[in-house]
Amino acid sequence: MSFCKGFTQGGSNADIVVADAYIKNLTEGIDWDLAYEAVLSDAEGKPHLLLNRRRFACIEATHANKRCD
Amino acid sequence: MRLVEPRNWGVEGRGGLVSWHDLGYIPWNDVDQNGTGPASRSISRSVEYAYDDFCISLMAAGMGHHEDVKKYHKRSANWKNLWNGEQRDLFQDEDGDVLQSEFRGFMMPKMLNGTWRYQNTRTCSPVHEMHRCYFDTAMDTYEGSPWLYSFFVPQDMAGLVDAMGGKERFVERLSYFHSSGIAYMGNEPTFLPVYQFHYGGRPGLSSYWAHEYIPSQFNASINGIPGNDDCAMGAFSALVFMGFFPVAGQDVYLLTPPFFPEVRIRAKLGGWAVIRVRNFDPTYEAKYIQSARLNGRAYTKNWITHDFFLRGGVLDFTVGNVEGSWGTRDEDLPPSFPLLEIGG
Repeated sequence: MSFCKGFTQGGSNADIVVADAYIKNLTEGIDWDLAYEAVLSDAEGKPHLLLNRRRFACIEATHANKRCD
Repeated sequence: MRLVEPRNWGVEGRGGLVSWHDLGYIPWNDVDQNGTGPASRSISRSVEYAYDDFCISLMAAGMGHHEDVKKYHKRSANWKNLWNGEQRDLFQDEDGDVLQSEFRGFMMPKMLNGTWRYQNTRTCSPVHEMHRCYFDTAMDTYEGSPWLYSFFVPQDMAGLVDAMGGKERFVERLSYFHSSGIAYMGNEPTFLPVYQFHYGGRPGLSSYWAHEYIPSQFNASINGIPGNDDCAMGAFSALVFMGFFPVAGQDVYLLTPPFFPEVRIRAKLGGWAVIRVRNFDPTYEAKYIQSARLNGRAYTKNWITHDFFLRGGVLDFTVGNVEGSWGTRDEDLPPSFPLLEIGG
């Protein structure tokens, strides 16, 4: 996971951004379990299609003003 | 569960994960059968993956995933696997004579079988072949030199300081980095090294270099920023002006005197976070913190946490023309997270 979708310059730098937000107590509109799953997928290479499918479902739910879980 | 890398880790996730898990570094001659991406940047990817994993360990701690805390914290020490303590800093002068600086020990590329390879410590800095290290140019660092990436251990700066020969040597080395032309402020990885003097017990030198770079390289002229902005040059200037620089991923802001008599930021939970320089000097001759008070009490740490910006408060600095003793003791330094703390 990179901060921007594009060529990854180095590490999976979104891990740092996500952790930074977590440590600084950002909570509004953030599903931290999903975020944790995302950083683990960077570190472990879990099946990314599964994760993406869940993420897309989540985005759709958010757009429809439904709860995302 | 079957572990699957992104098929193209050039645009998402990480590559070389089998090596990362089994060897603890990205080898120069990595064999990656699970995904594709440019087989380059083995040093910068390794030190970044180590810090990425450290950040995951912090999240795991907060969320109660205890086994993951140990697992990822352990991997955060993987920077040591590419630290070659014997590596010399060789360069050629204008006559072509080969010289070496007094510094020894750098991050170096390593082969699958554990033997070292060599990339010149200065390659991809302004003093040597600056434009050789991009995404797919087969060098071991990305848009920066081994000199630069050898400072990237924000999770365990105390360990890095030891590896570099102790605080005094570390400060000499970081000063040399900034004064030799090797440092290039036009790229983001050089931001944190402006402030890493804090970890050597010399927060005054962070302020010194902040004022060296601003306004000489950051100013209101047409070419008033180094490199391109990408939002980062502006953000860097704003943070330097305000007197606190975040160590991203940690609850740590490194303190220097603001460039203004007072900075006020609305606190998230109400009220204001106020940073004041009591005896502000508009000429910036006085740019070294002599003492500080946080909400009226003496404060000697050279860093603060995010709590200050959440709840608000008043941080008062008294500054002087020479470095003082403020923020220089071991107990004043920002945290480091060596493996020992949780027993590996």
